[in-house]
Amino acid sequence: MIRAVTIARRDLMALFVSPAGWAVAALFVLLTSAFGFVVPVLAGQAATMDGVFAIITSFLLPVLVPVLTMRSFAEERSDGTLELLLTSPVRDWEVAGGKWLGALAFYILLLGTTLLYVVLLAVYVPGHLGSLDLGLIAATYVGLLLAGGAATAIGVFASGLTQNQIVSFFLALAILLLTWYAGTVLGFFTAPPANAVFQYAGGSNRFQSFSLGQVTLKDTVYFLSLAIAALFLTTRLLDSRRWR
Amino acid sequence: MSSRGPLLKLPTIPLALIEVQGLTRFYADRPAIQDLTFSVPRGQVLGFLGPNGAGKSTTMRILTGYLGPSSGTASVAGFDLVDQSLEARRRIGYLPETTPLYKEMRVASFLDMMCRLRGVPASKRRARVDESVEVCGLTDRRHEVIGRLSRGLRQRVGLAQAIVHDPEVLILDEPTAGLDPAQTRETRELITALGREHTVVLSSHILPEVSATCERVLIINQGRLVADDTPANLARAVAGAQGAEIEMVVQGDRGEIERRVGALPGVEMVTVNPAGDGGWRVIVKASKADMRDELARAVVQAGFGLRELQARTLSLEDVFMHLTTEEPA
Repeated sequence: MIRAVTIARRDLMALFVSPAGWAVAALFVLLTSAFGFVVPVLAGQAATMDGVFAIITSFLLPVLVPVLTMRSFAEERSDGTLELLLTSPVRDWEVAGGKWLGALAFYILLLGTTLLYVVLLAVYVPGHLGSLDLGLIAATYVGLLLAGGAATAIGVFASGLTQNQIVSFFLALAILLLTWYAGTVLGFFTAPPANAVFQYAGGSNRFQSFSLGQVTLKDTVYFLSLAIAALFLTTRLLDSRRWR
Repeated sequence: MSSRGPLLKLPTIPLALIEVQGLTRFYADRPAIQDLTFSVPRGQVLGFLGPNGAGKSTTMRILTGYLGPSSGTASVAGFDLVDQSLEARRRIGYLPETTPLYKEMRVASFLDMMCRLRGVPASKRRARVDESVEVCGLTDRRHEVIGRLSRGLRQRVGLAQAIVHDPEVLILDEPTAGLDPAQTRETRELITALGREHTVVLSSHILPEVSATCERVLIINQGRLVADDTPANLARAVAGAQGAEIEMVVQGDRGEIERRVGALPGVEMVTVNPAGDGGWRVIVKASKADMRDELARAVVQAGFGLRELQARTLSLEDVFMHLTTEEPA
């Protein structure tokens, strides 16, 4: 476990000194503040976190997470440093887990910046805390953590498939968009009973309960299983490379 | 409890630190190495020699657990590289061919990270980093960013990460590839120093390197082992097969020299080339083992000036060409 943390730390630091990491951070802060917070406030809309959350689910998760994870394994492979990792006495799952934790930590830091808006709302909204639905906000953050965990795991897996970062990015983007929206879209156009299956499998549908303020077991399990499955496949991928 | 085991279970002490049995590796249908068998005793510095694509890197990648074998086994300190891979990997320091490093990290923090990955206890990490930095001559570079270091210094960082967890075995894949002559010499000296305390397996396609640093040479060609001996023995073996060669620089008339030397019993072939200074470089191929005395006498008696005379020992290069261009007997 300490080895996974070591790998995670290195990846997190690498994101901090890379242009990609800063670009993601800048874009994220710009979008959440401008379109998620400032515009709704100026427009005199109800002071909620909805705008911020909408930006995250529609943009950060499917588009920016792949930027965070695209280097994960692809760069290690093209630079050859994967050889250093895999010839050290480290288990394959520790390598996969470390890569995931590194990307997830950066995601959590980005998510953390949005807490500022919660504070601003709490301080400046008339009626103060009373008018803010803190339960709903907390539940949404739990959902964002779970969805982020799944998205970063999928991104890391995509990165393990290739040594080209661009390919890695588009693979992750494609898988995430499919996971997030395909279920909803297919569910919309299919007849029962198939539509129920599609609607269940769609990420955005599974996320809805969190944004309504409920942390449900089945949706928690859904995102956790996505993350675990992606990490398991990544571990298998690392082992299979030995025999190819 | 019906079966009685031995009263005392002695740990099995492996005779050789590295043991390789019938190792074969295919990439798709193409065999990279075939049926390699060798062992390396503790403390030896072994050179792995072969042209590019002979299978050196593949063998090293199997020895470090990066690749699995298609068949056969490899073990380090008695631990199988497939079944007890973690235990085996703990005992290995590895410098891959391309010297991969995390370029955004600083030297010391990179080495510290490698200590953590390789299970060096927290209390010893500082000392291990200090020592490897010192051994590799990086003391005044420890806080520099790896990506800004020169090629030669990066190579030293690569060596430092290979020894930072104090492994029993060092596996160095083409450790001087891409270095300039001064850096190459430095690196070789460093490897020789490391060889005093570690068992070292290094690969190279540069022959003088292996004869300069290694006690034993394995020559591998097209995935197969073609020779296994000391550099000196290999040269001798091939020299015996080819007949001795003697090189002289002689002052005198060219035709006369050729005639006189060629007339000596045992001389098979004489080649004469201008050597500058009005002298001639005479290369004599003889069927007898050592004709130096006879040749010297003949030249002096004929009234020529003898400037130089030496038996040509075959370089490892000659041995190598001989072994890899002909079918091994």
